[in-house]
Amino acid sequence: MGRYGAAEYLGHQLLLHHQNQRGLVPKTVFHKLWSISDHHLSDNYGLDVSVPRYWYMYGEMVEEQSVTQDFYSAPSAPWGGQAYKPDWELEPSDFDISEEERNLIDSTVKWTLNRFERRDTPYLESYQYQLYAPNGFIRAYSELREHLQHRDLDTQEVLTQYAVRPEFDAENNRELVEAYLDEMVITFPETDDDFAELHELFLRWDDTARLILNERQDYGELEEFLDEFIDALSRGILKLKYNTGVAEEVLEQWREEADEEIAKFEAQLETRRTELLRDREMSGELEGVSEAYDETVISNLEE
Amino acid sequence: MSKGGFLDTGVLIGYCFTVDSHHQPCKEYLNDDAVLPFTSQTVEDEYKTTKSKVNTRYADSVRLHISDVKHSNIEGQLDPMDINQLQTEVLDRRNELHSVLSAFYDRLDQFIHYDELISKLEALERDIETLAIQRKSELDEMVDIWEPKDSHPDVRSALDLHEPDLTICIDGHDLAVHLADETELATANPTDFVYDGQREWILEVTAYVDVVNLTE
Repeated sequence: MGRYGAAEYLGHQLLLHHQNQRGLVPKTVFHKLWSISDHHLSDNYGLDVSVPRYWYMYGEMVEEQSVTQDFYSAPSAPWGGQAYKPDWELEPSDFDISEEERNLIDSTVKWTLNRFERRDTPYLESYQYQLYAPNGFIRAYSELREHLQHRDLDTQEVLTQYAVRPEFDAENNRELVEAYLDEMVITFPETDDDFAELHELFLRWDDTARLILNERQDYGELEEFLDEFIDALSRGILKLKYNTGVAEEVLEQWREEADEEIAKFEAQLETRRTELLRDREMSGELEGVSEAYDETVISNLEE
Repeated sequence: MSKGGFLDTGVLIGYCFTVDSHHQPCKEYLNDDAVLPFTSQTVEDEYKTTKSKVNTRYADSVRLHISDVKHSNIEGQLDPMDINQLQTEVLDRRNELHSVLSAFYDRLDQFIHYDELISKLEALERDIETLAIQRKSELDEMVDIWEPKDSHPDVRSALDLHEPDLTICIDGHDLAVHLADETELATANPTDFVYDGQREWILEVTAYVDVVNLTE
């Protein structure tokens, strides 16, 4: 009996046949190829090889602790991440799978590598969110992020020709980013109980993003700020809600960390808003409704 | 002759959150040259918690309404019918700032572009938070934080107050004991510190020379 299953065979074959097989397959690329191949097997051949996957930020990743990991090694890479390479010593008999499964996986590995071997992480993320994003909100924020990444590095202006949503009909970069932010507001799944808890926090983030956009026009800062929110959202909700085949002890650890991640982001957001609002001039809108507002504050504090 | 004024959390909230009503008497008190104003870390911590729970929540309520407006089919140039529809159908009666947003619509021009409406609503929610941030910054310039030197268990057990009011009252009592000048408790929370004989009892068992109600 082999000590590995079909999920491990798929991962091993991807590393074995990747053009960068001599130990230069970056972690994120490997995870995404593995995940995309798993979808392909399931969608086209109805074969479930149970690769443990979860949604994280802009696409799916593989949860490594939930597979038998020693069919590969992942030493530190020259670029600072991890470089994945297969265990060259493994024999076909080390994998406990049927001949049919082996053939389908081999064919899928060819399909995956033909299409994606030379592609970078942003391309793979884009492919994943366009095909597999669990809801419209995830697709909307992923499109915004992809758009923000297409910046002129000198002027930091977003390049409008990369807009993937011509129906937004925006005349300039700012209008385009605002249209994406509006799309996020509209698609936020507020009726879903898991997301509903974060609706106010999301709207607070949204308003802060608009403040950065209006007052600083710094698209690089906006991209980082989007990443901060999506990272917290991923750790607080997405990877717990959208996963398959992940080991229970890993899920338990994620559950324990989720509230802490959200609280940490909430505190960071408050600091950011305070910085942005400290020197802002009052508009007069609150002054105009001060009587009703003060009554609300006082009656609330007296309760 | 100067006097110490120990501010409870209600004074900070009144000064920072309300536009006029409680802000004005708190401001007059703080501008009195004879008063040396103090708070304690317990007051600061309670204020910080209240800011997150109340001030940010109010701004969140306006942002929730903005989200509702964006979900509605209203767009472009708005007329009085649209404004009425926003006020009666889109504005959720359960919104915590319903009366404030109603007042906002009452004073709105009857012909306004959708984009301008959104800008005004954004300005309102940002004003709510900006007011508190800027006022707290002003207040911090005027007020010192007293670090209590003793725990005063006898006085603590004699007072009929819940936390954190109890610790706040004791912090100020400690100031009154150690400050060369006479010290009073300034409150915008008369329910806990003034009414039902509380003021008299606090004066009986603590070193405060007065409990000043800044909501009157």
